[in-house]
Amino acid sequence: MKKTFSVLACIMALFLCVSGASAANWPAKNITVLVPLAAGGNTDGLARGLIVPALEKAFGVKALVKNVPGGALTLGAAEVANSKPDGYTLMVAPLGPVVLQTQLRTLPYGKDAFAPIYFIANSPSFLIATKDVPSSFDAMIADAKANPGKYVYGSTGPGTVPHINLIALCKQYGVEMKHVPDRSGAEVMKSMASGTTHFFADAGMYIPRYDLQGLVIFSDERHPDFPNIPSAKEIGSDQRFSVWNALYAPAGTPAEILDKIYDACKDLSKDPEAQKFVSGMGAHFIDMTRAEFTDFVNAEYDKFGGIIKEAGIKLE
Amino acid sequence: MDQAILEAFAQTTSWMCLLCIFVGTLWGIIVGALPGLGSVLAITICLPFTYALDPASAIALLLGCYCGSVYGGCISAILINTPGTPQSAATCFDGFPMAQQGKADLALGWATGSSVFGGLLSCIVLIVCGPQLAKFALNFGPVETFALILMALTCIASISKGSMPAGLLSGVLGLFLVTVGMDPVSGNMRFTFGYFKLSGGFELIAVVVGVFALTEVFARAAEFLNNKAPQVAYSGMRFAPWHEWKIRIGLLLKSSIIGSVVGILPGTGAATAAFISYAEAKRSSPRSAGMGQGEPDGLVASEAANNAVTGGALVPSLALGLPGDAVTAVMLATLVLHGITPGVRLMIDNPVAVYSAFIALIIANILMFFQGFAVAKFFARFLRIPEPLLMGMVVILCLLGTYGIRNSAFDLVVTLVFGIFGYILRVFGMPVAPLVIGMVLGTQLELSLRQGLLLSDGNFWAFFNGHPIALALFAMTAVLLCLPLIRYGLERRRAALGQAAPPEVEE
Amino acid sequence: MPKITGRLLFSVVMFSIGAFLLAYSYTTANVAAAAQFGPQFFPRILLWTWLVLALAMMAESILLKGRKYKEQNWKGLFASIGLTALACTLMPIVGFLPISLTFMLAYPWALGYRRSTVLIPLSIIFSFATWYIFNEILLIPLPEIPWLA
Repeated sequence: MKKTFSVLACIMALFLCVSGASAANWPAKNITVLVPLAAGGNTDGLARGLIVPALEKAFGVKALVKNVPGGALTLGAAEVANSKPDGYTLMVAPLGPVVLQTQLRTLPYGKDAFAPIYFIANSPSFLIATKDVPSSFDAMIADAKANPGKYVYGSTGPGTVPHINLIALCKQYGVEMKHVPDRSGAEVMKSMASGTTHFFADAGMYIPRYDLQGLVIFSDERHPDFPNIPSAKEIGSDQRFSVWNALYAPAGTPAEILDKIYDACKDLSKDPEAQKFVSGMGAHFIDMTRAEFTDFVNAEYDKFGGIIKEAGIKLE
Repeated sequence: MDQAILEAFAQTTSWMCLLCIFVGTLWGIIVGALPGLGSVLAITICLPFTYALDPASAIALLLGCYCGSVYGGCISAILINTPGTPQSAATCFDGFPMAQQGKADLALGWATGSSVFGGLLSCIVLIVCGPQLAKFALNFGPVETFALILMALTCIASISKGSMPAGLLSGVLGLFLVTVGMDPVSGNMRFTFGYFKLSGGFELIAVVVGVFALTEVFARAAEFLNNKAPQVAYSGMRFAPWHEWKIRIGLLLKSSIIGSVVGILPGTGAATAAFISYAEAKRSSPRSAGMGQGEPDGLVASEAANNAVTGGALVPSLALGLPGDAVTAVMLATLVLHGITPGVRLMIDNPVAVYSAFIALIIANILMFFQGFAVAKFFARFLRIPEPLLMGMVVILCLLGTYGIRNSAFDLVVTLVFGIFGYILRVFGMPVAPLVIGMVLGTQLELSLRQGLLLSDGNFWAFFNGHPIALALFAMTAVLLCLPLIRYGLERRRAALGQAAPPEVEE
Repeated sequence: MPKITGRLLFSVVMFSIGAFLLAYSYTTANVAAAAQFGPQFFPRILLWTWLVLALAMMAESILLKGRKYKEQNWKGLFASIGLTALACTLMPIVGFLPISLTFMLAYPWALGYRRSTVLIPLSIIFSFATWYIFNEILLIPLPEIPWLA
């Protein structure tokens, strides 16, 4: 017994040498980057391929990726929202858990539980359709109006951006379509390939990969890789949707730590390797300062808030 | 095209690539054999290493990992009645009884041989008719998937030999447990009672680890009298004589084909294949009466099928860019990171990548055979340590494995609760495996049912109209279901008429 | 009066739980989904089946012959469950290392294996090796000891 006690005492002493941190000597130990998705997706790839190397290079400590999937990304986000704002827990997440889910459900956190740091990458959403749908947007709308319930749109789940996107679209043009959700982008592609689903609103990279067509891109300008797809502005719609990933810390993290992290990441957009990495996912960088990014988050929040209220969507 | 094959061969037999296959497969087997750590975790851990490799080696590493982990699960399934991965749950049914009869080395031999056979056969299927099969898989819409999963569920009836209502109830419980959390169609929360942590639902691995691993640990503690545990003594791996293998060739082929086909169909994985194969073996094998008590047929059916899925899952992934399961999804993501775009044009734009994947898989399967031997011998030594120590380590590893999935304290509690619940089930003679089968199949079952109903505007009878594949599957389900039920009815009748077996002794 | 076996009690408990869940599924307000098959559609099918099967189990346990139970090591069983419960609940709070070290000492001890010359080194080596492999090599974060975090 005495032997055990002395051994344990030695261990404790050893660990006390690696003591806790303050903002001045941040980072003094490993940083955890939480990703509210399972490993292997785009967000996870961005975290592991871009953010982790950037942090490790800038600060010399290890950055570990922690995957916490579940609850439509809210479980991971809730964990980050509740963790200590000391700069050792960060989150790389898409827009869903921060600006969308917070308005659809009662969650133990709100949009303000996060301090936005760095806007990583953006992919504007396209209206992707199977090849048997009429290629012109107007022709498609006319056909959909004439045959309510003929067309089916898919999504990666109820309350996700592709879903909200199509709800808004259908409402604006007064068409009726069925919604058949799947659980992931891959499953939606499978449904489209087998003819079950006709539409999906997500990043453009799916179009050449799976032999599909794009009817419109939900942004102001046409995309350089897809010069034949009209923009929403051209067809007279003011809907703008995109899928974007960003780096956050829990609200209340000291501003100096946030600035340090921002400085470590801000040059990623100039790195050609990083650019190649990101464009492989069909996305691109947009430079924003922390303040600009915070405004952007609020703007997105309000935009979705408007759509949700107008369409009357509420999930429990 | 031959040019591409030659180049792929050159790339895959480069020393770096072979090393990756070797390490990946060995790593996969070890992770697969450790209860609580599954294929997805094994792949996740390999991910950072793939960034620095060239595309062929990266894919080879992941494929080796995949292959090895699906096989590795059988080692702990046979030796300690705990499937190392959910895909090997069906291997416990006959594997552990064989081990208890002192034939653990034989069981491992059956499992290894069947796994390698299944894997290699699926590679051949993949190479020969990959793209055509991929097209066929596209005919599987929600209705067909629903029919297929229903067929897999009949496995529950086949293994509920003790008590049919108990087994079925266990299965229904499993199906129910996956409805807890967010509804995949409407987004509503179900049965969470306002508790946020439940909104993510029950994690499958947490339940599997609880119900198989912890239950086994508790059961052994209960049996541990006078410092003497019922030891499973054995020494490595042994293969049954050729004539034993010969009579099961048909079963091997059939199970491998089932596995390959199920692998090709998206939405279903190795576990589903193993269950369907087991149910089919139970229906058609001349030795089915012994299944569940240590009949090699059960091992052959389960292990050949689950490894055949590895080749099958590559078919839609490479031909169409549609990943068959979580593991192939990670593989495709890795391709993207290396600048190779998966999708319908992969075969045309980058045939070398496709062929090197096939070749890597074949090499991995062959290596697996030898590595399995070595790992089995190692585990033989390892399992000789006194049982309390071993069980202590098993518990810690299982808890880590559960925690490592979602980094969730809640999952640990789930594992504990299901461990206790599984033990209670065992005491009352209720089979525990159907619970896991229900959970594995439940989400996809409900989702495809609801999707089908959405598409047909709520008309269930439309499921039978205009879906020939689904009709065929429904018919087979009926056939698979009838036999166990009839057998059960006859057994009960015999018991009631007084020609009963002696009252079963509780174990 | 049918014999009250453990099995009968168990099936009655299962039936009650099923009935409770079924009643609950009728009380929650559900968003009406398309095609009138809302979120509770599938669970209700399952729960009705559950009730029927629980009844069948009850009937079976009344008609079945009783089961004999082998001698059990109750102390061992409860020690095993108790220690595992402590490990599960305390690990996220206290951290991996203390729990692993304590558990590897206490568990074999409780089951009767008392050779401390093996226990102490084994628990130390095992805990640290596992921690090192997971945290440093595999890069899977394990629960940290909170007052050091």
